[in-house]
Amino acid sequence: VTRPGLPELVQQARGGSSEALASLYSTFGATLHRLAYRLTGRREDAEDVVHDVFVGLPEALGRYEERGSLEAWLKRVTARVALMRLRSRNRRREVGLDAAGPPAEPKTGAAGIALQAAVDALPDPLRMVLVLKEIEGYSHAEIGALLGIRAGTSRVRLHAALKRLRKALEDGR
Amino acid sequence: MNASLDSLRAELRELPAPEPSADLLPRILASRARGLRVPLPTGRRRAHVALLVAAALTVALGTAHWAGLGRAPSHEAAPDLYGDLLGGMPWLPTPGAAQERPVVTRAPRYPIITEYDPGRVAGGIWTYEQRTTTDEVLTRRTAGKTVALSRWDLEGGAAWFVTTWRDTLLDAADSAFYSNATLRPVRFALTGGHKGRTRIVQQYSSDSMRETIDITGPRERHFHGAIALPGPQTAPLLMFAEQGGLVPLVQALPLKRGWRGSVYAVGLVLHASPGSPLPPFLPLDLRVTGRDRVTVPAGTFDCWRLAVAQRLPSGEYRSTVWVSLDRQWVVKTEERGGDFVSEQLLVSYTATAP
Repeated sequence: VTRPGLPELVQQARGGSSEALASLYSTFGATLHRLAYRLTGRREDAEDVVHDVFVGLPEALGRYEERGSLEAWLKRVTARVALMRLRSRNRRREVGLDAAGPPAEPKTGAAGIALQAAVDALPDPLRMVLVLKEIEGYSHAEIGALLGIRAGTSRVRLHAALKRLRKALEDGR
Repeated sequence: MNASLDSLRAELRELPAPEPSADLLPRILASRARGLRVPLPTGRRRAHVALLVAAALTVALGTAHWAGLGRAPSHEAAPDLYGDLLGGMPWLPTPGAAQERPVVTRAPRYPIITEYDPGRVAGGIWTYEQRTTTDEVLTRRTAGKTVALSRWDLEGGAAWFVTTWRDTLLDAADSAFYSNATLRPVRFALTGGHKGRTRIVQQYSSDSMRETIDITGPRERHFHGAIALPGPQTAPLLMFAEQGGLVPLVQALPLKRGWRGSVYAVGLVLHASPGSPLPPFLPLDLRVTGRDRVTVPAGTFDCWRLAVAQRLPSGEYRSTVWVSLDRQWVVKTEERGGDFVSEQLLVSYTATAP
């Protein structure tokens, strides 16, 4: 949703204004952090993603054409940065401290814990598609463009992700 | 839990997520205040570096106009050259590319390589096979490329002649001369484009590079430019559009556990234009991350595992290169994408006359 003053904030942020950047963060930071967390599955990765997005934002806004929603554009950028983060993490075969221990994030009830654990256990490519389609509401074509895969591949991955989730939840009952 | 699909979807949407920590915004502002800048992937699809270079080259060959000598190209001469160029190219990315800010050379992650031994470089012909695996199922094999390295005597001294054949969109072939003593480029030529009508030639001196682009055919055009080279003159250089340069360079590196170093890759003078999707120079960051025994069609080799990273405006491109311990040949190269693994495997080696 475009709020009054947003174009001015964008213009000021492009010019390097810290105040404008802080205002944009207060408007979109939590939303982007939530998306980054769901895509990466780890809080520290989500913070790094959001950090990078906002550090790079003033220069990147030079390429924002102001034809669509700023929030949608920011989400696409955030998803791409999260994807790069995941690729980098996978290449390093990095295992986070929270992956070896109990979940560090708030959960709601036993059912929520089980579902969160099942989502966390999904391979990154499946979790990315699941989050983008079922939580963020992207189309398969949009997901394909974001992840560099075919729309058909996105459908296959979503099917596989949902199948795994259902099996994990049924096994856990 | 009701595991029906609809309720599962509803529960997914209600999963909680943590709030960002309170110090995240101060950290962001502190990072900016320190001068940190992060190039964001804002709209264009990730493309393979070679394809991006090919695209840029094609744009250059198709429409460029450039004239400017000296330390940096004159932007007054062509205020929005790349924007004009991209507007007429149907297959180049988004209009956003034409809005890019003027090019800024990225800082190397490691110290620029100045300790290396060009005397260790030996000639030969290396043939590689390209394998692409998608979604862990589909495997595609293509002819890949052949890199030939041989000694030549040029007017300015002895040189390594590197020529590369490969299957690409442009069906391009290139040849490059690197100084025998420094492994810095001396001359680079590439012929490609539609019906091979386009030709790029770069001539290097110790501190600068001159570039000419000639297009023949119905829309004949000729362009030229020059640019100063980055880094110390005692450091080797690679050429962005030339894929064989790593073969002699890695032979000369003092690879060992923990070794790391950066080398600049030089692109086109045209890339210094405002709106160019690529900068004219990019550091290639190299780091030894371990040792592996690698089996490729040419045999089994004990190798150094070398992590190679290059930060482009569209994101960081990383690959892994396995270099044989004994003669430091490039044995295998691997690049991973969203759903694919692309490998380049050594198929054969043929020694050439010294």
